[in-house]
Amino acid sequence: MSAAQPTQQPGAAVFDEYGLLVRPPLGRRLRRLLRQHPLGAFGLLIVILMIALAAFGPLIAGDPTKLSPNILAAPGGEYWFGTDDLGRDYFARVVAGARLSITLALTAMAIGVGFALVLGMTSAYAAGLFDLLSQRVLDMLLAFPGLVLLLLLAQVTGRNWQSIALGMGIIFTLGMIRIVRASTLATLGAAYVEAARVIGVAPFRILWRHVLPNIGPPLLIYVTTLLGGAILFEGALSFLALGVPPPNPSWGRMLVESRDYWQHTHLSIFPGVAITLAVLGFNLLGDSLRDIFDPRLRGSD
Amino acid sequence: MITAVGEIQMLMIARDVVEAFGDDAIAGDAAAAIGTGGMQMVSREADVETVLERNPNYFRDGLPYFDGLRGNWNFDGAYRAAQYVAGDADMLFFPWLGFPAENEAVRGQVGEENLVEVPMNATWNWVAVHFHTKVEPYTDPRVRTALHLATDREQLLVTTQGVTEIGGPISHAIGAYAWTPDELRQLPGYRSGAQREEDLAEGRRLLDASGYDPASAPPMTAAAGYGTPYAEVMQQNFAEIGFEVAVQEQPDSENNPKRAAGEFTLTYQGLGGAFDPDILYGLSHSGGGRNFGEFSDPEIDALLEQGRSTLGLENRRPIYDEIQTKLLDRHNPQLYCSWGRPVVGHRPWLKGYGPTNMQTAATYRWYRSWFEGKPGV
Amino acid sequence: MRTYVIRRLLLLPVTVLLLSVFSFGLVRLVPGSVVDARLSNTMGASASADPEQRAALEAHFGLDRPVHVQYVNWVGQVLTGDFGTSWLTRESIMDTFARRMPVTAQLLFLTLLLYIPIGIGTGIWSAVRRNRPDDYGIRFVTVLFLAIPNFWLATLVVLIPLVLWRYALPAPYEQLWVSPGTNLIQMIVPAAVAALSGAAVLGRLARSEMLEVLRQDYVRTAQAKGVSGRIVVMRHALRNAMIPLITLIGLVFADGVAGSVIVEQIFGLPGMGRLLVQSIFANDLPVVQLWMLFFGTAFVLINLAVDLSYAVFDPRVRFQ
Repeated sequence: MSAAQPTQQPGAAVFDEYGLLVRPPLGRRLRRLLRQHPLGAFGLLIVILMIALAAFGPLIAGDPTKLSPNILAAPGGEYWFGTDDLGRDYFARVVAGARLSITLALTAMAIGVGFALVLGMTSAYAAGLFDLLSQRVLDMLLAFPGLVLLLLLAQVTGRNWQSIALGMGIIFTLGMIRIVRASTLATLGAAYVEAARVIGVAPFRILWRHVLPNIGPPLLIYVTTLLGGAILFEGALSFLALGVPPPNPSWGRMLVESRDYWQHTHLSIFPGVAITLAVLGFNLLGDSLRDIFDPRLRGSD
Repeated sequence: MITAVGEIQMLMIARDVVEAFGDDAIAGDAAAAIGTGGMQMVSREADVETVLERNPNYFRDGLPYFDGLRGNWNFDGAYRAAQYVAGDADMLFFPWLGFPAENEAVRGQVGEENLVEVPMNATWNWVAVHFHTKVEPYTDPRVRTALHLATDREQLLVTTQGVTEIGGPISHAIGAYAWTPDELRQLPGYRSGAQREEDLAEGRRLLDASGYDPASAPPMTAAAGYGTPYAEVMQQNFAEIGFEVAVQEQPDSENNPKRAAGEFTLTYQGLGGAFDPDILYGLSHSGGGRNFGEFSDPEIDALLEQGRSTLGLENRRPIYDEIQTKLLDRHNPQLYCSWGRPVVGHRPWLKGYGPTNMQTAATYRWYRSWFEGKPGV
Repeated sequence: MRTYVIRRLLLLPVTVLLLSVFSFGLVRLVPGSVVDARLSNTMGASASADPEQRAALEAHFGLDRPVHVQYVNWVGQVLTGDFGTSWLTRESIMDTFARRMPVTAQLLFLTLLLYIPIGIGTGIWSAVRRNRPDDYGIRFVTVLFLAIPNFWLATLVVLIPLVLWRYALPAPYEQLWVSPGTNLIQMIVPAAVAALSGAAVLGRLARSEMLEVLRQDYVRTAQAKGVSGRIVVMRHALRNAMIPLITLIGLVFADGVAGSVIVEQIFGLPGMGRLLVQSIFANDLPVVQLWMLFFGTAFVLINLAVDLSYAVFDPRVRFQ
């Protein structure tokens, strides 16, 4: 066979001499992402910036809890974002808020994904009575709006960020179990998985090797959107006085506190824009991931 | 009709009335609570409004001038301020204008000429932290005193933007018995600058001497919204002497019953005062009705009993001076911070309005108020 | 079809039973006791330590009996139509719900009225114009509304007209049948706030349903035959995309209820959302557990009705 050159039609999939898919270089993939999913690329950019801010921001910003007599200062000068009603540096607080809000969202998500994977896959794999019962319990729990459940859970588990993350994680679990279970059932029905079961591969290995990779994409789409949801949830909890307790500045708490000082618009604009941007970023990214991964939509261009 | 926004306490109903008719009867049938005041209740809908009308049998002839009042219960600050600023209400009632943020917002929007302030009786809105003296580590008076020394009153004043004044155990509204803010500023815990550094050092020493378990400090509860800023300042102040405490916000509807039930451990609260230093009996006597922290000290008990059974300013003043000294130096069952300058704001066309010399918000001079030059009337 | 309906109907009581156990159980996990609050409110701080009074109050509230007995008693009462009385206001819960339910029902209704056309309209538009500027525009704006915290949106809605025009919504709350004009102004604004936040969710689901339908063979065939784009969308695609969207009514309901919890607080509406928040903070267990049971059951019933009507409309489900 002569030296086969990979086919070079722009935009088309590229195959090497063994007929395997060649991944185009990163730069080209990014350009394609930008062209086909400009909103998604924008969302990805925001998300990366937010995570960078959460990770490295506190290193450069000052102490977010330091009190000073210089209260309600307007933005500019020594204080880039001004100060709040206790004279604290608002820039430092917005940055610290990024760390708290993002950490909270990621923790809640990790808890949710963990629970959902274990419960959803078990339910699908075990089938029978266990599956039926757990589905009924799930139906029942899904009958309550997430915020209402969260309100009650926050009362039960106490008010620190760990228990808020746990409460949100539980709420997220409820939404994700369905997806995990459906994907698991679909994969378990595939011929190669049936074959693996027949030749006696251990259940855990089947779930790990064959089922888990198939759950990834649908779960990823959902998770991205829920990360935004977690940030909004935290705000709603703060509004109801069930949020992350002081002195930790969360965006939700700052935005709630700014409602009283509405004359000082900088107090609401910074956390408000921060929340909106972060949620926007996660949602735009999730939307585009849906377009990219959803097999029903693939190829409809 | 006049509309007041944000009433917190329209009516007081005597306990014997409640006991005779029961809460149900009073809540369900407004007419069951007929008083001798200038206004009587027509209807009440929880969370919505309270309607009062002129009591034709009021014991002073020709009063009240108003036909009736409509109180509008509004718990959301922005919405409440909007009602007043837009001119839909003639009055912004206690204690909302006492909240610095709201005061400033309303003032900025309607302008000074459109807002008449009626300062309330200054014994209201007394800000103090109640320690629960039966709960570790607040069982040790040294811990409580250390925290008293650590509290930065000047920062609290800045934070509240001048609507409060520094305070000791007895409100300066009870003029003759109280220590003035200037006198207080000479005392440990109230001082600033280099002297505050001394107080902080003394606080650290007391805290070390008490040998308390740092992990045992339960959270400081605070009324969400107006209580949180105080709690946040104190949290930072306490940290300066190495005392780490969490702050737990809870809405008033949760905070008050918990405080009363002793379920709190260290709590911020606003509290109504009285025109007599005997207010300290309720707060600090072992049998006092507002001694939520179950503080008990035989010496203080004896002095308080002596104070209420003694007549004459010149005889009582030394007793209460002694009580205040002992409370601040040694016991600190509460952490005395400041008094609010709670203000009722109203439009300039409301005349004749002012507080009576009773302690409660409910006894304003509604009966002697009238409108003069209200646009469109 | 018949077995499907029977199976769903048989599962209904099981779900409602689980709902009641859950509602009852969860509220009992909330720390703090109404007995303490009641004792101290009426007798002063020192009384909370008195064991005799405590025992008497616990007996009064039925808290002295074992939990499972309390549960059975409660279910028995609810089944006979006795919803009990609030521990906080001592009012019959039936009366409280009867007074507050219309407020939230009206709010939900108005929310749906705004929510469904906005959501479905933008979703379809966006799908038809996929990957064109107006698709990006619509998606961006709907996602933006989804990203703004609803309490902030509500605050802005109160403050912006105030600062610009010195306008405030009329207060206090008026009932629809007392003064309809005032009531509608008071309700439509909070409903719009709730709807704008929620419509984005509906919009993106409508978009993906519509995309799904647009690539079906019959739509492609119609397009190939030269039927104009608008007719294809209106006649073929829209009708078929609507069927799965019916299933979203449950979601819309849940969203609306969650929104009412926030919106009623800000706009001073005496509805069920505010009742829940107040009752949770006051440890008013009878109200909270009944609230949960009530809305949970409503949600389950709505979903059941949706699924059944879906089965009637969609032949693929009917013959399964």
